[in-house]
Amino acid sequence: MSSRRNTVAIVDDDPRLLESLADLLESAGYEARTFSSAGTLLAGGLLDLDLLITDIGMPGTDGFELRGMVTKERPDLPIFLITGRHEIADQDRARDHSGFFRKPFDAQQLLAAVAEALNNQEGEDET
Amino acid sequence: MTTALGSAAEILRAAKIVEGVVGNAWATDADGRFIYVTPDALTFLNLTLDDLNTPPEEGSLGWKRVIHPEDYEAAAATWRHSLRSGEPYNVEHRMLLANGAYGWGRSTGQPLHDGLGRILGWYGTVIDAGVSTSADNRPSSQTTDAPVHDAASNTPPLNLVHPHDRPAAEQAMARAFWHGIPQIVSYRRRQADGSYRWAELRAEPGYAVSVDVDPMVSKPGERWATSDTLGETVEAVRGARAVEGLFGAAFAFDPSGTFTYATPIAQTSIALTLEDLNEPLSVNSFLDGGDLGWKRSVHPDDYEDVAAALRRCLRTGEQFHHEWRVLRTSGQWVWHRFAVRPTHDTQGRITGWYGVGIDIDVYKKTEAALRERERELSQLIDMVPSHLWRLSPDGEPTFFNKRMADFLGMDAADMASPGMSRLDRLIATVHPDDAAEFGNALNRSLASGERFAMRYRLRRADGVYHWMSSRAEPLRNEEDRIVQWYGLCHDIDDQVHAEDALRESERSLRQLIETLPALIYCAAPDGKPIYRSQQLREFLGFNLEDKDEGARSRLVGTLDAIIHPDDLAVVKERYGHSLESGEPYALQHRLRRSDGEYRWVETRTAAMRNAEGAIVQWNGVCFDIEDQVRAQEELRLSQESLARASQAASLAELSASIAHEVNQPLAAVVANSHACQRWLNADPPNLERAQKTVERITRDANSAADVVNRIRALFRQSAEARTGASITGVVAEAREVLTEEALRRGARMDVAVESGLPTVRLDRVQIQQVLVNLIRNGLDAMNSLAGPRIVSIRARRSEEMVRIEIADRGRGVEFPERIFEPFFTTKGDGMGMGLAICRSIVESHGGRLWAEKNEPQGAKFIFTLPIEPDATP
Repeated sequence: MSSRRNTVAIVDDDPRLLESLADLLESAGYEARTFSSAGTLLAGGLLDLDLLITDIGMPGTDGFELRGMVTKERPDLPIFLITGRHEIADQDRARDHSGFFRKPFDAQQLLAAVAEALNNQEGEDET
Repeated sequence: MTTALGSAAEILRAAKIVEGVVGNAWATDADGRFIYVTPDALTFLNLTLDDLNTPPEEGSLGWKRVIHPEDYEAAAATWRHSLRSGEPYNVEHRMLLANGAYGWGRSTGQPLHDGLGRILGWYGTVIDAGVSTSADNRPSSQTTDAPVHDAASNTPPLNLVHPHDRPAAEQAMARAFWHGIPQIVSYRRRQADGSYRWAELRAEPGYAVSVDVDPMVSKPGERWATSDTLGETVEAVRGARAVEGLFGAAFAFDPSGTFTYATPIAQTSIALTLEDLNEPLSVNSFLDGGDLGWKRSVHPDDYEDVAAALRRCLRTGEQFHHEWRVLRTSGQWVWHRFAVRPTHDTQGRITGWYGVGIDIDVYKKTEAALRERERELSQLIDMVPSHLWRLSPDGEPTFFNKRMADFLGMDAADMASPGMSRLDRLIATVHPDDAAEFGNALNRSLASGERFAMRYRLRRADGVYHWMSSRAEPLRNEEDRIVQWYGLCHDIDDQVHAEDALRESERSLRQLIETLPALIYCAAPDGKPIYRSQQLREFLGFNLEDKDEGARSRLVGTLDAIIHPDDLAVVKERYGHSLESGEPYALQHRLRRSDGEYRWVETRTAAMRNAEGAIVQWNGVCFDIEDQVRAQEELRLSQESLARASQAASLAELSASIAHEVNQPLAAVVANSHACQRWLNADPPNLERAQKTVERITRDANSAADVVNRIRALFRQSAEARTGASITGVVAEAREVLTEEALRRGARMDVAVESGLPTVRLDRVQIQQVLVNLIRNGLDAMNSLAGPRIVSIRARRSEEMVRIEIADRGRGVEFPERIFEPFFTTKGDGMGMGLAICRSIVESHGGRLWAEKNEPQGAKFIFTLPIEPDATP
């Protein structure tokens, strides 16, 4: 874990969220990359990413669609979904997903979840 | 042959008699061949007897030569017809006279029959009708040359008539000839010494040329003409001869009644000779009551009177005038008037009587006919169902017909009364209210001669007044002076009463129209307004003629003035269509009231047609529907509000959006806070990053607060939209919105609103949102309830507020105050905004919203709204 910092990509159309999430992740020692839409993320490629956090309600490609596309390319990549719309959170496809947060989320929990996801991945890599 | 000769002699005798009477005569055999013509006449015509019997050409008659060509065919045809049929011949034609001029004449002819009825021949005469031709041309040779026996015995040749009198004499003769009525004219006759003497001429029809009976009566020894001994009656006979000259016949008798002279014509006409006349029929003399032969000539019914009258005259010497029926040789009884005068000697003793009997049969018959006509006329006058009256030129009533006399109860003659003129008496029969005008009008007409016409009440005999329509016009004489006034007076009492009833009925109908709570109008077939009810006049503030200005028609002027500009085009189009097609017209539009305000009205107009189906008038009615339109408008707005309220039913969705808006900055705040904490806890603490992050926290938290403020403002800004409304209505609308949903969820709403609640000033939509939200919360709270799911809604007055409670039977409220905070929710899927917004709304209305525990279970949300200060229940 010390050899290199894990890179976390964040996709949200609200710049305040991008800022705050990047700040939080950086304060926890991760390298944060922020994207204002699914499109900009996909344009930059997914190879050097260790984790993806994406908003669901976005103009254009929404969070669910982005997850589908990314999973196709990087099935191993942990993806967290966050949303401010609670009715979306109540939907089944959101409920079933472990990495799902409602805004406003508990920052401590989010960081713990991120760490856990990355550790699991490393563990898998080691085995 | 002897027979032929015998018949010729018979005809000749007849012609001679005529010749004696008329002065000329002709005779023909049965075939029309002339056997005799008065020699003077032949000379006059410049013809011989042979000429007459020698046709100038084949098929024509010998006398064609002397008949005017234009008259010949008709005359010849008539003559031939007479020869064939035996009918008398009577033709007027122009004849060529010896002097080469044509003169009018009348030819007459009669057949003579034998005992078997066969025609023996014809005899006749030509009467000169050329009386208007000059005297020199007149065929008057006989008379001019004949000795004048008596001043009056012959019609004088015109050259003996004083030139100044000639026209009158000519006219008299002409009238006599053409009309068949004897004419008598006075004229000055020239005497042998050249002086003039007044004389009388009797012009007899057909005899106008000359009547010379002298040769007949002057034949001496003609025993049946004159008595052998005239005796003392010489003077009477002379009188008779004079009369004879005038009248064509006369007689004379002695003082005992014995005839001594009678004109042969008079004798033959009664078929009696002098002997026959004087033949004693009884032993007594006539004066002693005996009868003489002439009795046979008198109608038996008349004889006794005649004889008695004559005897009286013979005794008294009075002139005798009597009428009776005389027996003609033809067997007919013919009315005659006899006039007989006595002659006296120097001592005054009666020496004889002379007289004449004139045929007055036509007159008698005419008189009877006249009397019948008069009777019919007076019957007509009396039977006419009207009053006829006649006034003298100065207004005195001179005649009333029977109906008028019966009506008034008095005749025109009864009008005379002492101290009062007949006219005043007539005026007195008029109703006192009409009398003055009647008198004035009548006097005005009498003075000016203008026609009189007036309606007035006239008193009937029984004192009842009847309405009369009266007229009178003057009759003027040749000098244009008024001779009489003739009047017609018609009883129009029934008509007047009917008219009164009609007027009353019309007045009542008009009043009905004027007072109907509608604006009523009528228009001509072309749409021109012709009537407006009082209400419409008052509404518009002007009347029909007020829009007749300029080139615009009254219709266009009116429409332009009273129809709202936005409606004018459609009104004109639709009204024009109706006028053209005859279809009824109905339209709602705005109408300008006299105060300038436009009011919504509904106008309906339909055509009134005559029996032929042609439009005679348009009748229209116009209702003020302003209130109705306003109510409809409000209803529409209310329905719109309801639709908006049903949108408000998704307040949950609204709050979700709001939540999202707020969640974004909140999420940022949360993340930043944590990051900040980490930067500070790091070793060494990264103060720079921490500082930066704190700034972001402040910024984002403010952003979240802004969202809430914006929402609050959103509900506050609609204060102007508030209107006074009944809470009952608002509750009912909210209930309406949720009825279906409550049903679906197995719940029911129990609404109880106190009656007579005062109005509240509120924004309908917002209060509906509050109600809907609270009621839905109640439904939500009872989702898992097994028992009856009831949301009860109560509204009542509480001091100066209206208090509304929404109670459910759910689990109740755990935190009665916190639930109104934004984003506080007890529901699994709630955003926690609804109650916060509801409270914002209620508070913005000046009320309060809070929650209480419901007994025995559940929650109760209560909100109050202040009553409008001046609102009354």
